Formats: sequence, structure tokens, C-alpha cells
Amino acid sequence: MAKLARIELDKDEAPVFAQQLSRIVSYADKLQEVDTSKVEPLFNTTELVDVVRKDDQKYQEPLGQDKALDNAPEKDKGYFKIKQVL
Amino acid sequence: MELCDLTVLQAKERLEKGEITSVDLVSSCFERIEKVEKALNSFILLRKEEALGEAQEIDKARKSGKSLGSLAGIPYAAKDIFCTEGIETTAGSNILKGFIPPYESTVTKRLKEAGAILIGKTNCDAFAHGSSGENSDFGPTKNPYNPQYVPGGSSSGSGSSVAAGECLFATGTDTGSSIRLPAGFCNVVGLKPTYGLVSRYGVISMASSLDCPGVITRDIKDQALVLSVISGEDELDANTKGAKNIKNRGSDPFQGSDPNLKIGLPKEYFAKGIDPEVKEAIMQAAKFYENLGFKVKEISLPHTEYGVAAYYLICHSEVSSNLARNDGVRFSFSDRSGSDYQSVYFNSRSRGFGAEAKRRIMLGTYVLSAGYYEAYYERAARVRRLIKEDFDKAFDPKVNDVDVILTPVSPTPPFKLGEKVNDPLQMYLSDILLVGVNLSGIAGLSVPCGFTKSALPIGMQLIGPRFSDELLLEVGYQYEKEHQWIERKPEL
Repeated sequence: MAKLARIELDKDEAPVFAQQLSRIVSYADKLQEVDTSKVEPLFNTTELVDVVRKDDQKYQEPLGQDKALDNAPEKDKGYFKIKQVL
Repeated sequence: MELCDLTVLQAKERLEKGEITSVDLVSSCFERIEKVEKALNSFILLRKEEALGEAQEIDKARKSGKSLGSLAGIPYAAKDIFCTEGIETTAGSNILKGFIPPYESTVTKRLKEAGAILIGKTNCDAFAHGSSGENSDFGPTKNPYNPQYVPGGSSSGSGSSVAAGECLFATGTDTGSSIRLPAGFCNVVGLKPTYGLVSRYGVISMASSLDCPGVITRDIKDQALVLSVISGEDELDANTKGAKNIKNRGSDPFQGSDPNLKIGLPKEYFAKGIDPEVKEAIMQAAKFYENLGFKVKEISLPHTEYGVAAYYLICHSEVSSNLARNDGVRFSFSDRSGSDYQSVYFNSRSRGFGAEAKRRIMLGTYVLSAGYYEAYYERAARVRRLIKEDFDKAFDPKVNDVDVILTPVSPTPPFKLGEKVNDPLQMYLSDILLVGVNLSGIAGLSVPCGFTKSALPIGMQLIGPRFSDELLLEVGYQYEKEHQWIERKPEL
């Protein structure tokens, strides 16, 4: 699971997390008691549907390339720079 | 009493009469900070020089007769999860150390436009993950009423700083408890607004379907005043569509509120495990309302016991997705010691995130993964609907027909630092009386309602349906004006 989430655990951490997470998951198994066969899932409580702005409306100036890159750990000619992919 | 102990409204009136200046107020806060901050650790960042400069500008403008915003010259603090343009914002985490937001959150923007002065950024559990403040990567905040105890989290520094007079009010966010718990543990007032009443724009996301920005203040009049500035529609957060602005009620608010309201006491919230002193304080409050003419009756919210499990499955799922952006490439801490781009992800995230963020990311990833999605995440979302329907029925004139629900904020008084840190499940269960409100998108107000024999604060929670925020303030005020808990200041 850690690997999927792009996290590396060291040897000491892994068993502690495993034990804590399995306790939380078994607590969550409580939900299996509830009959949800006739209940729709609820993902958003606002009941709003498709809030859109008008096409010609602009609320904010875009940040601009320089400002958007201000917090980049490494950049080059207006791009984020990363390590070799292939 | 020092100037920093004034409520926002008292300070505003004295500023407007010319009795004090904003520089006086800001200086008074910094004197208090120098005195108590070492013991409390409320702040991650302070901006004394800048705040004094801004206060001078406002004093000058006031002298020259310029018209000023409704919070002009009032010193406040922002939880370090609100993006402030040009001012470091860490969310209490090492991975965002040094992050300078290129834009301003809607809440802090509106406060700035109203003339409020930002004196610092308050400490919090990293990414708002926690109920005690102990998950901050900048060290825990302490409870001003007894520094051996936690102030409640995750808006820990906001609760402690307002209680201790380090600022006049502070912003917070409440995803599962994080405004109401520190308010209840620190003898101050905190509203978790209806989901969508206050814009989330520029608040570092925790769980987007639950996140509610708001404020912690010393009393209810101040809640109305500050909310009148920050609430209402914002084009930058679609969920605020249709949200009305909370009215500022001034110094004599809520006249003529209806004493014929009905209050429900949910029996599940008083079940086993509740501390007797807490229960007694809430029962006293119920009696008080009854004496005012309110009808008080027992109701049932039958799915209460599933709240924490449903909450954590949904919350951790959204957390794992929201924290994926911290990849060490575009912003945030970056470890480039490895040889390829994958190692940048792994090393940056492994070294940058604290233990609780890692736990939540892993659990969320698990819950959302193929084969487990239906069994966990989707089931939690179905139970979420049942929990919301419990509240719907409580407020439905044809079923239970109550106007507001009265509960404790927490089944126990503040707990000791270190007591729950090694047991994440026990920590999660601290929120048992609070998460239902978040899952349902409704409003909950935390109001001080007493002290234990060992001098620790007790808070009560008033819950109302969507957009009942003003009603809650009104009902809370009826209690507050006859009880002076807030006068009992911490001895530091």
C-alpha cells in the first residue's frame, strides 16, 4: 500500500503502521453491520448541480508563468525540472 | 485587563471613539505573546514589524477621516492552513516548510479588505490531521488553562491564542472537529459553519467534501461580526452558491428571539463513556433553556455509533487524493538525492510527511483501491446518507420537530499531552460527537458551558440544519449572556 501511495517505510516504521492501520480497518468493519442495500451513497451535502460561470466572465487574472513557478524546487526556462524519466 | 483581552466588538467601539489606537492593540497582543508564547507554542510565524506598520497606516487613515472596513485595526491570527500571498504557509507540516503562496485565500482576503491585521499564522496538526495539536511538525500547542493538557485540534494554536489573549480572534477550519474541539477545550466560541457558507478557496485541502473554514472568537457577538465579513457566495468556490451573508448584530444582538424553540437531546450522545462532570454541565444548560421557555426533549440519532468509522474512511480517502499533489516536483519539500524521477516522489514524500499524514494516505489509498472501494469507501458514503437522514428526521416538523440539538462538544474534558499519541484509533474517537455534523453538511456551534473541578473547560455544542447558523448564534447567545464562563481567564 505504501508503494502505491509513493511512500517508502523503513524497517522500524512498517510494523507499527501495519498494526495501527489494521486496528483502524477492523474498527471500520463495524459498518458491515448496517443494512445499506436500499441506500444511495452521499458524496456531497449541498445538493447543488452544475454551478457554472458565464463564458465571458473572468474572476481573476491568471498567475503567470513566473509566479506559478516561484515555489518549484528546480526549474529551467519556464518549466518544472525533474529527474530523468526513461 | 489588558487591551488584548478585549472582544473584537469592544475593541472596535473603542477604536471608533478614538480612545485607543490599532497600534496600542497590536502592541498589547505582542506583549502578551512575549509573555506566554514559550509556554503555549500557539504560533508558527509572527509578523510583528509588518503588523505594527499596517496598524500605523490604519490609525493614520482613521485620523484623516477615511471610511474604514468593519474590522479596521483589529489584530487577528490565521491558522497556518490559509494561504496568505507572500507569507509562508506550512499547514503545520515539514513538507510545506518554505512554501510561499502566490495567492490569497478568500477568507484572509476578505479580512484584509475589512481592515483586520494579520499578526501571525497559528500552529495546527499537520494538514489539520488531528484532535489534539500533537501532530504538528512544529511541536505541540499547550492548553492555556493547564499546559499539561492538549488545547484540542486541529486548530490548536487558534484556540489557545484567542483564549490566552495573543490575538482578538483567529481563523480555523473544521473538517471533523477542528474548530469546535479547540473552542470547547479552550473556553472560547467556535462555529463550524454550514458546508458552503464560507469559501474554501485558498485553504489547503484536507477532505474537500467536509472542509469548513470558520473562526474562533471570545464570544458570540464576535462570531456574528467576523462571519459577516467572511461568509457568503464566492465565485472561486462553487459550493458557496446560494450562501447568504451572516448579519453583524452589533453590541445588542438577537433581541426578540423566540423562546418557544424546541431543543433535542440525542440519547446516543449521552451514552456510556461520557464524563459525569461533562454530562452535568450539559444538563444544567438544558435546564437553563427550559427555564427560559424552550421545550427540551429526548431524541434519537440511531446511526451515531457509525459516525467515526464512516468519517475516517471518507476523510482518509479524500486526504490521500488531495495530498498526492505534494510530489516534490511543483512545490513543497524535494529530495533529489536519487537517480530517477520515481525516487524524487518516494524520497520527498517519505521524508516530508509526518506519521499521521502517512497513515491517512495509506489508509485512503487502501480504501479507494480496486476490490475495496465498494466494501469500504462506497459503504461509508451510504452510511453517511443514513447519518444525514437521522438529522433530517430530528429537524423534520413531521417527525421529531426540534429546532436545535444540544450535545457536549466532547465526551471528556481536555486530555493530557501524550495520552493518545500512540493510539490513533483512540485519538479518532475524540471526535465522536462532532463528525456527524460534518458528514451531514450542517452547522455546529461550540459554546463554553463550565469547568471541571480540576479547572478544565467544558464546551457544549448546538447543532442545527443547513444554513441555521444565525439561529445557532441566537440560541447560543441566550445562554452566553447569562453565563460569564468567558470571564474566567487562564492564569499564565
